[in-house]
Amino acid sequence: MRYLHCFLWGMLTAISLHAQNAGDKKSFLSVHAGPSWYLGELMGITDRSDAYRSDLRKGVAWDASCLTFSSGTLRFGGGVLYQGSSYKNTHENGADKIQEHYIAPQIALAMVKKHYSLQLSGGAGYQFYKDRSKVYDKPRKVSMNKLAGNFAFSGEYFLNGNWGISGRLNWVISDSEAYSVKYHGETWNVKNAKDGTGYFGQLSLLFGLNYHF
Amino acid sequence: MKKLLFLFLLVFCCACEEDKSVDPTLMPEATTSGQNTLGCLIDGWLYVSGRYGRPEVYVHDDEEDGNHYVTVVAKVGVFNVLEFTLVNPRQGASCSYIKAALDSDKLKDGETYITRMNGSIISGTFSGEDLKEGRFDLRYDGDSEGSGEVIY
Repeated sequence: MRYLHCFLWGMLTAISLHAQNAGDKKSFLSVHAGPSWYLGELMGITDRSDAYRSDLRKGVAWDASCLTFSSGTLRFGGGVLYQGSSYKNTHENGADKIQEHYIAPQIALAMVKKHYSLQLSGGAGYQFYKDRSKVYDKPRKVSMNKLAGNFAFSGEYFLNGNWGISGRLNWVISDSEAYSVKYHGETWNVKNAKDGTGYFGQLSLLFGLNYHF
Repeated sequence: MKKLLFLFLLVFCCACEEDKSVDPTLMPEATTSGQNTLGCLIDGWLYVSGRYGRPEVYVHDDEEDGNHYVTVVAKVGVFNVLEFTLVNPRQGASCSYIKAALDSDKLKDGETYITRMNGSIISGTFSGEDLKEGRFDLRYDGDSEGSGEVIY
């Protein structure tokens, strides 16, 4: 037991000693994963029932980003973000498997303290949307690639000179007036029947690691 | 001759109104309120009307055999037409459909169940060897039949 205490004390000391240096680095790479919620209109899905849509909205997301900052306590920076997400559900006569891939340049504002940092970032880029669905066991592909934007809030705790653990809340928004559907060798463009345009997006709560360099 | 055919098809294509808000890859809801929808599976693939015009319903009585016929003609593609004829349809009862065809391909006869038929709306489900999981909910002009209550 004494050895365990010594080990833990040593680890915490080592972490806190290095923690002072992590924030001094100007750039970092980060990877995250976590739950995601599909927001807005679900266009082109195979079942419109409330229960089905509600379950389909719950998915997972992952991201990778690289950002570079100026020096100081309040820092301005920029970089690039990739975020992927997946939402699935099945019903008696079909299934939907939505995958979104968003990539965008980012601008960011960070407040860096000794042991942690807080960061606001945002950007505008492109979102690739695919729904590899099935109706009565036959494949059907919906695509809706559009311009999109994102806002994110993240916090990081520095573990040592290079590494930190972080959490990130990211909101990606886009809208579309139509989607493309491919089925049985044919492709159709389907307009949004409701009000001409449909807002859709995703809210993701992600956790992961940052590597500072 | 080919040019003439091409011109005819071009004019035909331009003449038909396309409702781009209709997704022809999704089975319409099973309604009974005269939504003018029709969908079914042929060889497992969905054929749905609505994008290239509303389905048409023709009602006629044959004095020779004494039968009452309701023929449904639905555009399920730019150049694809599905049609079949219901024999003596009655609300809340099964009847057969005959003369089913997709374009020039004849399809085998099958069974229809009429969930509503009230002189202006006819809706039901149909299935056979070639047509599966079929459903329709159509408005038409015809003699009043049944009370018009929905029967499932």
